[in-house]
Amino acid sequence: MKSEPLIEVVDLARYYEMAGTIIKALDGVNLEFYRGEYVSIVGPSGSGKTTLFNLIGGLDRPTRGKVYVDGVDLAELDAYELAWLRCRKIGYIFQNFNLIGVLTALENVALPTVFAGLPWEEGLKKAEELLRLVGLGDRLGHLPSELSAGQQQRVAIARAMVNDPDIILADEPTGNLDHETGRRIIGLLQRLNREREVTIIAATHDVEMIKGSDRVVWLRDGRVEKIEVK
Amino acid sequence: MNGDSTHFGLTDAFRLGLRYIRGRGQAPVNIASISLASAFYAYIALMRMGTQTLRTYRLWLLSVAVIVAAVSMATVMLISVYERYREIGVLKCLGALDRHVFLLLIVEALIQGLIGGGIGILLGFISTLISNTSTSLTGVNYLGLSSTLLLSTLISIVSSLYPAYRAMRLNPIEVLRYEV
Repeated sequence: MKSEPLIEVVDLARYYEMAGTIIKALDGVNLEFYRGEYVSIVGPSGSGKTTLFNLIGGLDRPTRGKVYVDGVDLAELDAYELAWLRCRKIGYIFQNFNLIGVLTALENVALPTVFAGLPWEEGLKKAEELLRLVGLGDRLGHLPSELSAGQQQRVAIARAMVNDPDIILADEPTGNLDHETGRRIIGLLQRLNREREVTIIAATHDVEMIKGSDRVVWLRDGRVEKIEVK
Repeated sequence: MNGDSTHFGLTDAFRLGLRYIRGRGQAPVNIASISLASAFYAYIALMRMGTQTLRTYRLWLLSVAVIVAAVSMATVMLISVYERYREIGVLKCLGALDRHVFLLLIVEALIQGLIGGGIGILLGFISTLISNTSTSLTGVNYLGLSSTLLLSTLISIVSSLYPAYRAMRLNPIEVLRYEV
């Protein structure tokens, strides 16, 4: 393993106050993620997976602790720099795909390139290339509502890849898919991880989905329970 | 991280805004309500009225048209923001800044205002010709007509300011937490 971690999480904690009680969504997590790794984060719902992703993606600020991406302390970035980070460095994949309903598959994939400052035509070209890569070359003009769940998630994967991010955060990417489709989506993520050397961090509560991971981080009640190196 | 930020220009806002207007059921409702209000406005604005009492009466009618259009537009825009909570959160996840979201919604309002105003002028003009014998084509109050378009656009934008502000302030983690 290379010495410089791509993401470093130090004593990370995020508490929420809900109806007067403090909820410790994350409570002192230390983790390192290296370039090109495929890491699965496993834990029951409420174990802090999504909170961890929100903090790594700079969507949320920690109560305590630090997140470093490429050596940069996220606490020192302003809203503009965080938006840039989310746009260029990190790709998101969600459980329920979260595609834009009025845009075609092609336009959905091209959308992040707009934020990255690419001319629209170039973005579309890149999007088409990626949709072919994920096997949807014949579905470019379809709206999300005209695609199956598995196809929608593949569009979301292409969208997450389009700005050539270093990191992909996949929060329960198979949670809304049947078992077979879920396995194929994981297979696709692992292929992209190998071919494109993008670091993938995939949260799941389904232990079936952790095969082929470089490491598995087990979370429970906001803490790291154990880390398995495969 | 080089201090650079993300981009979303006017052209991008028009492109995405047009997709939303084409793809969503709300837009026709917006455009229809602006059309009706502007038609009414244009009709009244084109009326020839001699006496002072009738002029005051006309001013009242015009104000009612403006208020009705603004309130319905604001309502529909707010609903449109609520319905798009998740998508707005996604845009922010993909790199949209607050002001990008704001720009998108204002541009949507602008487009709807222009379309609605255009249809409204036409409707108002036609109904004036049909019903108002005192108006002939030569005596058309073109100032009144063009002020209709300006007004419809203005109503549309002003009544969208608050909905757009609400959308801009959305916190993506709150929005994306609503998992089905």
